[in-house]
Amino acid sequence: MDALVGTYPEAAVILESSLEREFEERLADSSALAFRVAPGVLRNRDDAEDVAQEAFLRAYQSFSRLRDRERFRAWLVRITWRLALDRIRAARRREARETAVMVQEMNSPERTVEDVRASREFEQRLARALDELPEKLRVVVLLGAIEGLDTREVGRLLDLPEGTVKSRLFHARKKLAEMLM
Amino acid sequence: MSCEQFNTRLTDFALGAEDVELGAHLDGCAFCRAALDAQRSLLASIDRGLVSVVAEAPSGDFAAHVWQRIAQAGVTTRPWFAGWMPVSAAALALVVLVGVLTIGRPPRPPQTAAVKPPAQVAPTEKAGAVAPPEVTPTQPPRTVATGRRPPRGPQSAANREPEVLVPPGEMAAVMRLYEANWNGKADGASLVAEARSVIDGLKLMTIAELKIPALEVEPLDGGEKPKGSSENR
Repeated sequence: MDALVGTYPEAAVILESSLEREFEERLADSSALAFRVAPGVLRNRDDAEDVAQEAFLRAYQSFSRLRDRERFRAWLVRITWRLALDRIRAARRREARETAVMVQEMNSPERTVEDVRASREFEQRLARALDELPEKLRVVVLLGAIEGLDTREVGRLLDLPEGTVKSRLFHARKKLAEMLM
Repeated sequence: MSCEQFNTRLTDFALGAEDVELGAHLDGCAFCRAALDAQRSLLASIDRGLVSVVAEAPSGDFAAHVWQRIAQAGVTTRPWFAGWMPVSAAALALVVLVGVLTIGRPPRPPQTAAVKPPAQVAPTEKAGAVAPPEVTPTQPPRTVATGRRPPRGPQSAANREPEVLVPPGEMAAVMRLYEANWNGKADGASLVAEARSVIDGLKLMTIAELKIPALEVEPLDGGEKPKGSSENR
């Protein structure tokens, strides 16, 4: 923190209040969650990190208006999810990046060309299938895939009953299987 | 029921849905069991793919980048009312200042008498003289030029300070009288006594009879000019 304050004097001023100290704790606690939500939509690490940072910036701006601070993670997930959707709609640069990554991986000596091709092909098909999922199913299936988040926690994040989460998870996986069969 | 019909229920079964009939069929159908295994394998691949999508961790300097963006954006997370606090403080300071100036004014010097205005005052000079004022131990009157609307206020008529309606052109004279009364150079009783002596003196004066010569009119028919007619007419 001292290094951070030394690097960014503006941040040092901001950190003086308890509100900002609390935000700092939330940032440390939830940065991984925010980051992991974004790749489900963007499937690009740099974009995902950028969106997650933007989500924290938005959250910071409105942090004082959040009455129930225990809802911060759920709030952050929604902000990140919405920003990621906006980002993917605004810029369709994923295809070019994926092509570049695939060429890079095919040059890797550990895996055969067929393995890489099959793996990449499946990932691309899964990505397209995810894109076609209704939003309410997609967010559930992606959050459900995050390690440490069970259906109850996903329900808390999305403000949904656990039964609804289970039902949506079931239908999301079924749809994905039907699309990838 | 045929294997094709059971096949449509395999995904649900692989996802954990209970299906007693399909379960019984699977016990005796190797083809459907193979299809179920393929379905489960696909679901496992989907789950692995989903996990790989969300498994990555943010970079080590993620938080630093967030703070950098916050600093660059110049945003704050102050409460909504914080922006109004300087304005509120300035307004409060203004109210306090006005209160101090109002309450802390020095008291007016004591006085012996003041002029109570007449009930009615003529609006113009032609309307005649103002009635002699009464002498009362009240606050000094405020002068208001004739024709101006008196200020409105919550004061009742009984509590209101007396006002003097001054005919146009006589404001300076009234102010001199007011000032003399205020400084103790004159008081209402002596002024009234002096005014009465003047009036009594006027009554004693004799007015000389005014002689007006008869008017001579020139005839219209051009006849002889009558005696005493004026050439200038």
